[in-house]
Amino acid sequence: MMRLLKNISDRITTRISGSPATSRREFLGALAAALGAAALARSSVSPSRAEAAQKLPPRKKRAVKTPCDLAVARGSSPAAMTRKAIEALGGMGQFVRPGDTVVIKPNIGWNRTPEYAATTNPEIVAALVKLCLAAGAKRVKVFDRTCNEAGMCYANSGISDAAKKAGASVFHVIDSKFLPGMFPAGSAMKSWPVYADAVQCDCLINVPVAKHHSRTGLTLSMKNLMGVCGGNRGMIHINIDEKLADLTGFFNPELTVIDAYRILLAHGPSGGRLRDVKPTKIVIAGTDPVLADAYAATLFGMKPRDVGAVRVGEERGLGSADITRSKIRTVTA
Amino acid sequence: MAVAVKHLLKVRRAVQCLSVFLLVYMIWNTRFPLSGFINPEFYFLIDPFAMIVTSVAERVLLSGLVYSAIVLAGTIILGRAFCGWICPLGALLDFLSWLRSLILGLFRKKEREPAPLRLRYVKYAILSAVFALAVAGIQAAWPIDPITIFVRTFSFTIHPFVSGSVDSGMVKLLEASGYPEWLESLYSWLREWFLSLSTPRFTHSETIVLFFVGILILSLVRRRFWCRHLCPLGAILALVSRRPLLRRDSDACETNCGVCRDLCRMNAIKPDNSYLPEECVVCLDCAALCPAGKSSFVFKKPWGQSNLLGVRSKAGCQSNIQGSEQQPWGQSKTAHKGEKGLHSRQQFIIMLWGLLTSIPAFAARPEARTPRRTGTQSGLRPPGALPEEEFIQRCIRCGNCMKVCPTNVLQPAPLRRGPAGAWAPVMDVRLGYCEYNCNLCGSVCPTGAIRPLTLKQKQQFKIGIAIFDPNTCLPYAKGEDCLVCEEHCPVPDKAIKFRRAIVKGKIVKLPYVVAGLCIGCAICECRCPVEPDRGIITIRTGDA
Repeated sequence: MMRLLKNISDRITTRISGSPATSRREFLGALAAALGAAALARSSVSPSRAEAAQKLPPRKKRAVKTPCDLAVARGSSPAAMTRKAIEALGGMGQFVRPGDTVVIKPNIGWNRTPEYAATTNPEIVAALVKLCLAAGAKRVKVFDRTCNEAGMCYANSGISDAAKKAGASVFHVIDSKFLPGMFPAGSAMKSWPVYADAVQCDCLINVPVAKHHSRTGLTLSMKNLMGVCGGNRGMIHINIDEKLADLTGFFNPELTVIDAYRILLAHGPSGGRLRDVKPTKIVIAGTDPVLADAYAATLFGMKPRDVGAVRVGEERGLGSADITRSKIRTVTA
Repeated sequence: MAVAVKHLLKVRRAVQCLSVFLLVYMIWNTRFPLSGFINPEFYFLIDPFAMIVTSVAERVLLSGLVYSAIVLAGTIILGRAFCGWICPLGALLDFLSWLRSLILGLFRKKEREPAPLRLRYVKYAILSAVFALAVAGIQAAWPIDPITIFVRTFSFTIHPFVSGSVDSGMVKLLEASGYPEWLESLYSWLREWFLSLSTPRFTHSETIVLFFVGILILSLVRRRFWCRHLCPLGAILALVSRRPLLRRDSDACETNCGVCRDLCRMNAIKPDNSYLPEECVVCLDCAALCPAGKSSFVFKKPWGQSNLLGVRSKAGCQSNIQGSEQQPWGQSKTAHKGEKGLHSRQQFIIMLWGLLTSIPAFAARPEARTPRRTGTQSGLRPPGALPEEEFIQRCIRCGNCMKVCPTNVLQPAPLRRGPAGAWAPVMDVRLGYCEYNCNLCGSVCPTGAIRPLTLKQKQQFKIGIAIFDPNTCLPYAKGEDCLVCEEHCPVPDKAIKFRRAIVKGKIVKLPYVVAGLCIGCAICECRCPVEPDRGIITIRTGDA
């Protein structure tokens, strides 16, 4: 390829310098070849855009005072439970100010329908979108970088339709928006591409579904943040507990809402067997992601600190894993 | 009447445009969630060449034979109207020669076409060769079927190029303008309804487009060169239209001015003003544009002379034309050179054609760190594919399955796997994987080479089997916990399970494959984070 290009450029330069030896036909031939070569080269020399652009500093969390540390809603309607849980925290107006751009990050990772509990319940996402808009949000964005094919995940999870209907702008991630995040020195993550929208927003709401996961024991809110990471995400699995704590500290979500309407007890995170799904009918909401995850772990009969990310998160001071001493309010919808 | 004939030409052009747009629309919509209102395989079902040859080679009765029979019956009545009115490739060639005449007409005087060439028999030779192979059980229709060539080129080259250009243009625009909200919404809308979420790319797209370009270039040498001399589908239709019911009637013509002969895109009119019905594509140019109005198309009884009804040109109007009709075309009454052997230029063209089509596919994709095992080396066929030998004979390489595949895992197989299997779909597990909740490829296959499985059947269909490479897999080789493969495994029971073991002094979860559960979807290989060689590879069950 390089030799060809050089040959062509030589020919063109001879032509320009006025060498009488080059005929018109030769010149035209060279021109055509150059065009062809340019078309061929187009695919091979596209630079990684993420490297060329700026870097993203860690996201700053908006300080919010809530009446309780964690709200746990029980009931039968996912939407009503969500509204009750947010109400118990003091209402969505605590987190969302008029004119805000809000990002809601559900788990749309798998091409499964909601009853398999592999993806976040669409009704919970829709209820949150409506609450944000009612609180005066200018725009509510809903997206996820999926594991299965994105179009099918968005459609079959039911989240795309539900969130759009509620008034959110639902879109697929754009590769060029993954920019290198500047993790603090000493982080296990070092530098990693993260999605700009999830960092540059006024309010970030993390809405995972509580599931079993062989590598980490459980996948909860901290693990859900992998969905706004770019790059070869499989590599995050190495030393994952430290890295999930890094991510939680980096993204600092204002609000964590865990969908435990149905939980996946085994064969997670993709599931696929209704026998493994347990209808717990709970929605957990709080400002402390570690505490929310700690509480969700108890639903699986696990001790909070048995979940690696929760343990490391508490050690790092990202939140509390002590559910006995925290102020947890249970409401019924 | 005269007005009506003129309008028929417009109608024909409209039908041709519609046919091309319909096919392009269908190909464009051959993707999740198959929203087109016509089956993506429709054009193949009405293609008698592909259907008959595949049926003969495979000794099966394809459902498309019914549709093809309708087309053949229509051809017996109307002649090769399919070529002149419906065939999208023919429409494209017509458009191209119209463009050419528009441009060249400014500079050059019109050249006169020679008498019908013997070269036209080449298409019969091609057809009989393909048919003989089909009788022997080898389906060789796929490289030369015109519908397939059109669809394949469009799916593999034109669609990715157009979609990719618009996509990257939009992204550049977004980057330059700082992602304004309205532009982002527009881009999001475009991605959902017009572009692909990620632009598909196909190996061999360069070679595949070369075929197409070759046919286009030939049509610049002679109008409809492909249809006149080479097209095997045209040959089949010609065989049944040696004496169609709708025939040209020029008995009233006395002058033999030669205008119709020059107009004829198929070169079907002989110097003595008789014509070859099997070469005629019923474009109606000769009837509509005859200066004397003496040429017409009429329905004739298969026997006898009496006309039933037909299309007659401006009957004898403007008799003043009669005197001047010969002038623009020069020597009108002189007969042309009779049929001769192949001209040297024609031989050159044939050589060029052979050269173009025989260029081997050597385009390697640049990769920073090349893995030892390329993605297509797995040799995995799509879910529901017939047994290998049967599959490569049944598949006509239309590319529907590869176009519809949401993960872009299906790729035209490279030639090094043997020319017999070239361009048939094979899974490139470095590009994608087989989506568990998806059975689209089987539902768009026109020949049933990929069986239309229900989702449940497809989810149990064994495409291949995964095996770990302990030298590369992180837990085995480095003693690091990973389990990305297990996480992604879509089988409800998880075909990848793990046991705890001590490796390099650490307790790690060592994954292993449960052969009975693994369906070989290859998501584990695709998502394995180890570069460049994967810690888990997928192979055909026969190779295990």
